Amino acid sequence: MKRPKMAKSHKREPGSSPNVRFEGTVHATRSIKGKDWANSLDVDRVPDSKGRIKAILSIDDCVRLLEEGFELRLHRAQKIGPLDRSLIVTDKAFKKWIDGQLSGMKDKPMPEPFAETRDT
Amino acid sequence: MYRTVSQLDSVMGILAAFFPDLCSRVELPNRSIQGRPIYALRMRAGGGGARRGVLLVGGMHARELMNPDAIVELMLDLALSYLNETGRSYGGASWSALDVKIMLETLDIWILPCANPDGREFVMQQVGGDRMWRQNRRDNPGTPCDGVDLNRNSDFVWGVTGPATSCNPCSSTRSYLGPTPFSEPESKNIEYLCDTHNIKVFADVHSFSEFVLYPWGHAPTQTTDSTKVFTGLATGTCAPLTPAGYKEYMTPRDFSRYRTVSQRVADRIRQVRGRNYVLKSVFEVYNGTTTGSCSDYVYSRHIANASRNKTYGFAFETGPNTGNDVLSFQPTDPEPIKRDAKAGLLALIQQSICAIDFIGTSLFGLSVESIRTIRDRMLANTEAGRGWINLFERVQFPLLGIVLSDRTLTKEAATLVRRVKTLTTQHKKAIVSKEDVDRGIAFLDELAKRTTDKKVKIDLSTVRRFLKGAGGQDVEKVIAKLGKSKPAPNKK
Repeated sequence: MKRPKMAKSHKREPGSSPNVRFEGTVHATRSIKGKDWANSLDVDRVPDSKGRIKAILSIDDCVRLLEEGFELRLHRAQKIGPLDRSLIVTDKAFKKWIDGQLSGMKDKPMPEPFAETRDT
Repeated sequence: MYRTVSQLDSVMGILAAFFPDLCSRVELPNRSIQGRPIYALRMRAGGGGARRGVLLVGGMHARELMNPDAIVELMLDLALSYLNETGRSYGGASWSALDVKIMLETLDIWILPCANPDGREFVMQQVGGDRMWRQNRRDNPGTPCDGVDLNRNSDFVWGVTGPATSCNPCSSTRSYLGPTPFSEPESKNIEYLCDTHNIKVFADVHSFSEFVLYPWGHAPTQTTDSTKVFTGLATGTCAPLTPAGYKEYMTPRDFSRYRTVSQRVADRIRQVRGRNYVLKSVFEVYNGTTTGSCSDYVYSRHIANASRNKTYGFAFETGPNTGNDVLSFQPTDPEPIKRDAKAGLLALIQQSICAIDFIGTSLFGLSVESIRTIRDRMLANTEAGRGWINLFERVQFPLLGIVLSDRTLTKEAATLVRRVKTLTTQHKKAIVSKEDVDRGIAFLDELAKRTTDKKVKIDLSTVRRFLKGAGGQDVEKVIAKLGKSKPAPNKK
């Protein structure tokens, strides 16, 4: 299969911008021509039940889209960073959980199956 | 709270170590880009040889953290329910001990809970990590940008772009499709599992939006023009799909099956706590082309190469859109959403069972190919025929438990399967005898006596009425009649 041509890029790596991203929706203005504009926005789309063009936008994305003539409605700023440590299960808590689940289960015999195979 | 990659792996290792007759952990042939081993777990109980396989995959997109946890918990729940001979409930959705037993004794259930371990590690990495990371951790040569979207990297209309599919490694879509189809070891593992096991049903579990998704993703799905098949499309173009307005064909039978199964999954999820998962094609998620997705790939395999088995590919998008994307991907309390997901996956596993295949092939070593051929080539082509197929698929699970719990009934079911196989193999000259009809009706009556489900009783009486009129007719006429007259329940 043919290797795709590399699209022209003027951007930095996602996440290398200042330490914030935005959740927002992208809207066409009068200067945007054509019906399929949403297909080539080059943004991190997330589904939207209302059918809006919702995306997670870096500062670079915002600048580019505004320059291209789109209107942006930013709903929330996200600080860029790892998952909060408090949301990660510690090894100690994991051990407690799995030990609790399997308490008394080791070497538990298998139940009688419905039917042994072809000699039934 | 979310488990680390090593904790997820530990659950599989412990299950395999504690219950070797029930669980086998397998290291997949392709390690992650950063060299991490990637494991799958197979669950099966009881005897029998070849079985239908179900493959559940999670964690392909790193930031969608809930699903790997939900999948390993589901396996643990199934193991404990089976061994303790107890049922399993998630909120208001319940499965009996018998239901669990049937699932584990009729299927090979495969899980690949964390398909993208490097990505998950990066999301949790406290120095330099990014909780919104989606792709794997491929270092794309010649660019400052890392990552390939594993759910755009499969060999299915690969290299055609859309709103969430890009050829640019530095794309803000975070959906770079990679340098070649299956360039990534993590996505190659999906191909490997499909190549080496009899996977009939596949689910790729993502977040968020509360959708149950079915093919196609590259174009809208249609069931009327069978000349529109993806094998004729230009790929690797790094351009939108051509021709414009293209719609991909799906057989009416498969479309009906996808919709029916997806609806049953959504119904079961609703029972948990009332959440309404919506049925959509993958294309409808962004109202635009998505190519190289795993769920489309697995389903496309039998069309691209007729020697391959058909695999029904589904995708779930678990959890609601809360209006806050971080909390939608990574809720502070994921437990209710995991319960929804587990119920949906159990419903899908249940829908993956084929009673005739299990009783015929797995228990008694009979090939049921001629029966499958009649279903797929004759009944599936008409609305009435599909109605009979749907009826069978509706009742088979509740009745299979009754049949398998009684050796005499199991043997009788096998005898009937054998007789149907004989009749359908020679169907041009074979006659359905009075003895065939009497024996079939006696079996149906016994099932009706034993089931407490009123809807199943109605379905059984519908079949009974049809069968009563089949005596003395040749099989070809009987099948033709099934294809013309929809199952009509008795109104009395």
